[in-house]
Amino acid sequence: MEAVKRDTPQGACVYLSGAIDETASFDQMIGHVSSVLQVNCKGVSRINSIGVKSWVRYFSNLRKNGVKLKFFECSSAVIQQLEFFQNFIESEEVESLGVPLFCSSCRKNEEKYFTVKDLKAASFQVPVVKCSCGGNLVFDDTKEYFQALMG
Amino acid sequence: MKCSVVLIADWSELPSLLSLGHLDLFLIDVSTEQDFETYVQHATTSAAQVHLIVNSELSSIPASLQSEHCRSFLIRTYGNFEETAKAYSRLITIASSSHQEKFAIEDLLKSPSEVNQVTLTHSDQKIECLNQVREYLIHHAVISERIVEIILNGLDEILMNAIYDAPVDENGNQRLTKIPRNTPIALDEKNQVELHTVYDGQSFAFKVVDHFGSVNQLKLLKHIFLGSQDHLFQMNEAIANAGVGLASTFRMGASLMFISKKGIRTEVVVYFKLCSSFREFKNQFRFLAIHGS
Repeated sequence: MEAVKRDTPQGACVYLSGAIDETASFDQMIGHVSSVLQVNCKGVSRINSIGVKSWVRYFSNLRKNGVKLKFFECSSAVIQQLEFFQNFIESEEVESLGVPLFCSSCRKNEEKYFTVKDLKAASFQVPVVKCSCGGNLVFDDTKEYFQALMG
Repeated sequence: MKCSVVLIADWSELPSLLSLGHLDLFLIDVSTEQDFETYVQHATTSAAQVHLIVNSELSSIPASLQSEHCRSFLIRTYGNFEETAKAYSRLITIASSSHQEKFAIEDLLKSPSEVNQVTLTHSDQKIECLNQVREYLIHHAVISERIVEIILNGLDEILMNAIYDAPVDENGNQRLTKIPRNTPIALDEKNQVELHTVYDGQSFAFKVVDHFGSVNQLKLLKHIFLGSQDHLFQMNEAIANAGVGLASTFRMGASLMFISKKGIRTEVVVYFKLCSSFREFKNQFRFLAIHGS
């Protein structure tokens, strides 16, 4: 896992990428966090069970210490953990996420990013997006993908 | 060995069919809770011959896994049933062949590529293996990166199990479960782990072998079935990594087969049909099976 931390007017922002596994050390890689932490997860490719434990331990601790968390551009690798783990992310902390799309004409896969606000407004009906081949990119997962965010 | 398969809708037919003696494999349809509980109460047959067709939502499955008669499941919920019955019969034929000492992973696929085999002599090789499999799949298979990463996650979990959860001492107690999974360890002879992979353009399979034969199959099966039933795990320090890792691998499209000889060897075989669409991949036919002691 790689973590690049930047300070913004809204608070600290960390960009996570790569595989979150037994080598991930959130404390070491992210360091001190004061009151707000924004986490960009676009680059997260997969999370194994040890990575999930480290993630839950780290972010649960931050919440206990009063840190406000926001997760942006959550990749599908992050969102699919919500299908399994109750305590992976608090659903209201997710601001935006990648939605997997597939074009049956050219067999292309893409991940497009939507805000939770926009998805809720559309009742989680993912709009069809035009593919570069002229075909249609449609939502390519099951309804469980959004289940945790619907509440 | 050709496998003769009989599909039974009414379990009470089983004793008379068994007495015929020439049938190898029985697929019993237990799609309702009542059928399943009735079968478990009355089953007398060797589990190796009987495979149950179930819906993954059956809530009584995890509790019933204590029964020695429930070791192999064909999950009706996923995939086209006629195709799955044929594919499954072929798989069970391979696994049940008495003349084979080791599961021939290449027999799972129709026209397999060569089997690649790696022996891990150090835990650090796990990352190398994952990278090699990633490169292979990206180069050869027309599938999304998401599917590649899901396959890699499954492989990661099973390799970790083999390295850290499988080793037991002379009393059968696990030796390494408490140590952090990023602890580098040398794997001497008995602790060495084998990885076999095979691909035929449509499917990908891998087999991970440890030389302990110690896996608690019932515990793993329970986790896997919980994972398939929309159960939400509460992740904490006490939860078994092996179980939840396999549960998510299964839920995302993997078929799993555990072939174990206690005190000697466990082979964990994982099979994926590769699809361009993730939804098709996630909804593919799958099975769970245990063979051996």
